[in-house]
Amino acid sequence: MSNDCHRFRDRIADLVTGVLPEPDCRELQEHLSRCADCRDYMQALKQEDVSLIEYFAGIDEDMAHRQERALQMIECSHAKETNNIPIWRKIMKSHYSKLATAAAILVLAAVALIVLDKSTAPAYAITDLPREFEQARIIHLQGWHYFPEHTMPDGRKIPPVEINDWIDVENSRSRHSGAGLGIDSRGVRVTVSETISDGPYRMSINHTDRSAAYYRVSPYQQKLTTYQMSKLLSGQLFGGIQQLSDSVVVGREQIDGVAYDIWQSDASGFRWKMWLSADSGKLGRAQILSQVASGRWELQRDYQVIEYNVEVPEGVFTMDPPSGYTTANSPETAVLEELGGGGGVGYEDDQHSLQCDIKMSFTLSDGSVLLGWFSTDRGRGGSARVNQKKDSDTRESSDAHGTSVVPTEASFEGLTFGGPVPKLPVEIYALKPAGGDIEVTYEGHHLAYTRKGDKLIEWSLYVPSGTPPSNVKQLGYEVQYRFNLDPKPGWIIHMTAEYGIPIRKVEDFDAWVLGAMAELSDSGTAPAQVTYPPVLKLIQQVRAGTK
Amino acid sequence: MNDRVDEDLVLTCRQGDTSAYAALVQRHYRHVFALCLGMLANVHDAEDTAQETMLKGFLSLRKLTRPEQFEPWILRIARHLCIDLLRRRKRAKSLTPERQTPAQPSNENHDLEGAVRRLPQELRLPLTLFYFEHKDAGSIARKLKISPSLVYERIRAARKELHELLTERGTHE
Repeated sequence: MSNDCHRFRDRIADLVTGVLPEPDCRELQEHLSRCADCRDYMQALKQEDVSLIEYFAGIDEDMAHRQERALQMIECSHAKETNNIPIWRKIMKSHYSKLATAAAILVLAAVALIVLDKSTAPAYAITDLPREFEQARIIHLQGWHYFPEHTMPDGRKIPPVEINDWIDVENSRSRHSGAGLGIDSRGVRVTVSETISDGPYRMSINHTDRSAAYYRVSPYQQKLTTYQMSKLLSGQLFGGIQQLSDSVVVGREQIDGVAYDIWQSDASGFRWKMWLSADSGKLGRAQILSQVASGRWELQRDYQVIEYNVEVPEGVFTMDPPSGYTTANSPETAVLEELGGGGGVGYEDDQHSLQCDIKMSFTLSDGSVLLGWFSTDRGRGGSARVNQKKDSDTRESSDAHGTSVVPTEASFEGLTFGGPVPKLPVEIYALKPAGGDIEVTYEGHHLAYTRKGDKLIEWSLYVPSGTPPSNVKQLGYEVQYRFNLDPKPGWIIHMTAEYGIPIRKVEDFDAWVLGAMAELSDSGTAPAQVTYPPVLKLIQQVRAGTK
Repeated sequence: MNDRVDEDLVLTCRQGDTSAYAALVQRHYRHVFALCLGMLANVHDAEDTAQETMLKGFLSLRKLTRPEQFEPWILRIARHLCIDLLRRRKRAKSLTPERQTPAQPSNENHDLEGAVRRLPQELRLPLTLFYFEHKDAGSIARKLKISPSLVYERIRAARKELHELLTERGTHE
């Protein structure tokens, strides 16, 4: 081992931890390309990382029971305390004891005050803000959305749109306002919309067109909508953890008689300003600014009310459209929405009518990604024609309209858990981190498939070859695919997969992954072979190079 | 805000609604357990101490001067109980003759568990919290009252040390 290697061992450890800065990462990659010892060392540390994840996840699995046992013990102790006269009450019957105890309490209180005063120094941590947001039962945000980079054709500023968002996590209810800019023959047009979800229904309101439509959603989707809404608003409000942790105090201001420190951080052309109470760390206001072409910072979002766990006013989640609005349907006639979007991405030419869709995505603790996806080619004209069997993979038919390749159960025959992904018309064989130039490839492995109506959904696991960049959470993944079509389409499709739902422990896996599999299955159950431990084991095998 | 929720729960509990303490246990037990595990390196001791911590917290809730500071307060109780236990262990060890540790079965997790246990506490604790806190250095830094960069420094050292311990064992066997 050379002196160089000693220097790089620290970086390898940081790479495995996921904190190696990009320039160091490139230098390390160069070193790794010519040093087998360091490659082995990196492989070993990665393997140990997976083992540590598993080891601690194993301990974590029993946490709910441990908590329960702690609560039982407290309950027992409390019951004893309330049923028996405690010894101190008996002692306190004596006047002398009372005087002596009072004196002792005074001395102890004085000592405790000194000790506590010194040790309660940390008031708050700014990086806790997103987690606190996501743990709240009720969230209310109110403020204004500005459009600093756009003006009306006559040069006037676009008026701000009010933000008034609510999330009621426990009851799967949410209300989210949105604003988008479009251009039509009359010039720039602001579309103001709102989405209100309450239990099995969702209402979409377009305030610009004065119209509304209803959708029906499954219990899984209700949970998913609330979760996604919370993530979306948290992302809009706080940005990313890394940028938050780089925040610095730039000033102090009083709001309603309370002193607030103003924390500021910049990332990717945006600036976050947070007003945190100097005493309690309570968030009083938040602003998001964007850097416009001239380099100036302009206000984009201004949250003036940020409240958690407050009483929800009546009518917030009402499913009645505002008066005078047209409705496309009613709750009774609303159709059940398909999980992960109904349509998917369509591509057509004179030979193909291709549909490919990533229905769900999940990212595991070690960075591996689990996707539920499907693809089909209905040939020109788009009608489903499944005729003669070409081979074991697909069925295809040829006529004047082109070739259709519609996957059938046979397309999944012979596939094994952990083996290659199926050769569907568009085969998603790997992923890469989107937007990054770090050389990490996520190799795809088949886990299972499910059938929902006429769609066969493939569930694949993608294991990264190295440490994914920290921005995958924001940017997601770029899909690597190949066409299994003859003739191959002459065009290129661009697909990305979201970071999706983070899976940290077995409960997350069961609720989100198996829940999605069950939802996207006619049988209403997830494939039996897919559970958390074998998936973790597969990741370990892939990383160790034994799969 | 977490602190605001904690503050409400502490005040509710003090007013006699003890079910609010169950909510505090649900919110903080995991962190307390992780801290105990990092300090004591033994799951059973960590569970006992975490339980004792939550009970002690319940019994002395009225002593908490700043209800919004429940988390640092309960973690401080846990830390003190762990230190007490480590002191007791040390005393017990000095009173009993050294005993050969029975060989563990050749199982990867046992190797890892043993290696994690052999890490010095100042490295084991951040490493444990790192895997329990979903790799959030900011949160670990706050709990340990050190900077996030020092957290990463210790995790780096812990990884290197752990690798040494694991490979050392591998070559001995």
